[in-house]
Amino acid sequence: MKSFIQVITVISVVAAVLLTGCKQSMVISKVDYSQSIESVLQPDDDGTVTDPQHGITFNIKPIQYAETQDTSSVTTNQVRYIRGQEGYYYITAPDYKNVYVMAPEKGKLVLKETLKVTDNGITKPAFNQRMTHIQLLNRSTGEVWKVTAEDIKKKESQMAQREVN
Amino acid sequence: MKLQRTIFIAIIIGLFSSTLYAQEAQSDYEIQQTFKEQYADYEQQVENVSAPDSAEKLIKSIKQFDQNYSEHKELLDKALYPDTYEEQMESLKKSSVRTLNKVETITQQQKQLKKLENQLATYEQDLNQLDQQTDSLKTAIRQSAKNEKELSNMVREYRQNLEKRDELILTFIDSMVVTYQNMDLDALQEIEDYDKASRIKTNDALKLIHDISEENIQILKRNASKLQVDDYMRMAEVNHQFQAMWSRLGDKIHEVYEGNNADMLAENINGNLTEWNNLLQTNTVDAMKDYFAQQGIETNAFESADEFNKALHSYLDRKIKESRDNRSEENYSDLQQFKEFWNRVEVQWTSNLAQANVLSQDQTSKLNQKVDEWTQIAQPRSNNILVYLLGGSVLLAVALGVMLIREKKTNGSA
Repeated sequence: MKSFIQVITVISVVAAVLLTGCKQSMVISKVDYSQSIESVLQPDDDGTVTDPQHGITFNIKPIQYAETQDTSSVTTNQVRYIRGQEGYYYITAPDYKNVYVMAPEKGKLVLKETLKVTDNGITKPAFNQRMTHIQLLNRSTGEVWKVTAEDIKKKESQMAQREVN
Repeated sequence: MKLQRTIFIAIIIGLFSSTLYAQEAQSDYEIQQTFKEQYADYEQQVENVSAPDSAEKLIKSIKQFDQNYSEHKELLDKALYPDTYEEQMESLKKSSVRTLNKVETITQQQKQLKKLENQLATYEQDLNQLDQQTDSLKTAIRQSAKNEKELSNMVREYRQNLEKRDELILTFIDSMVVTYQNMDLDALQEIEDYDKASRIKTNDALKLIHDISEENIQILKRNASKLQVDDYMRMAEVNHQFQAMWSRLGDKIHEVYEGNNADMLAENINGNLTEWNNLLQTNTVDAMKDYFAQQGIETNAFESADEFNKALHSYLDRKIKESRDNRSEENYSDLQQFKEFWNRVEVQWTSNLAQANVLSQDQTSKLNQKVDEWTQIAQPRSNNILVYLLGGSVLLAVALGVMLIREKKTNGSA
């Protein structure tokens, strides 16, 4: 009788282990989230921007606060963002000094990195999707930065020109 | 000094390059936005272009546009998804070529219309001239106290004038058909909507058609007694061609030539054509009466096309019965007389009589069967008897000859 109980216990443990293995969630790897062309959006009075093409709506005010420490009113009429391969959102606006790298989570965007571009900000910024990174372009001057989720580097003019073209 | 100058030039070039470079800096977003804007602009231009030269320039410009953006093909494929850059450019190029063809067609049509306008002016002038001559002759004939021969010459000249007039109308119809039959009215309307100035502001064709139909009615009304079956058969042909042109092209002619009274003219033409048909039918039947009287064809009296058909049937039935009962020279002579008329019907007038609504082709065919029947049995009997008598005489002579020879032989042997 005792040995029977032992056998039953062993079988139960093995079954439990096997069943636990079956419950593991499926994983699809090597997902490319990259958005081929940046989105240029106009915030409403509340600072909400909506991109129907890519199915995302968020409020710009937290980023504006980080940039200007002011949320009394929406101070920009244009928000530019692009999504990189890993899924991060790169967000900036005209005259902003930084690029904000935001990680998408359930119902929210979480700041991953604030990447400083210049002290004075870029008057006419634009994002381009490139093979390995995001490119930030100052359309007024032609200056180019290589942007990743962790880092931003200004490109030399000749290299930048090649990259832009 | 030289070094300073070189540095200065280098700085200037550097500044110039950086300015140029800065101007050229364009983001992917701008590239696709500019492409979409320019594409929409080209689509609009393709829609609006109204001259072949402009259309050709536009096609060249679109090719250049394609060359400018083909290096961004991959980017634009993504931006234009689910369409592709190639598909969009192909579509634009095709529609620009279609537009060029359409504009060329329209230009051609407009040239044809202009040419027709000039032709119409000539026709109108010639017709007026002929009408005046015809009227003068008609008046002269009415008032003439001259001898019968001179009167007859004037009538002949009058009829020749009418014949020329009919020829001119047929030429006019040909010109109208050539100009209008392949006309793409929708394309013409489209270009007129875009460019109102391109509309032909004249009513000449419609007016001329109206006037011709009006004048023909007057001719038929005025000249019932002076014209002969031949004239009416020619007129039936003109009437038929005229009606065919009007029913095929009337809407286009009406549409192309604008004017306040266009609707009224078109309505009048329809009314005139009905009257023209009726008069033509009545006058042809009357002319047939005269013709039969001249030819000595004694049918029952007839006043309408229907009665004419019945009179012919009745005449043929009567003559066939006569032939069956008693084949005579007189009956045969009547047949010859009738066949002279009937040969003209068969060879020349069948379709004209149908066009004039006097005898349909079916009715002619049924009458023809009776004429054939009459022909078969109308051979005078007297002729046959002569043949039989001659044949019998020859046979008798041969038989007598044979008998005479045999008798001689018998007597000789005895």
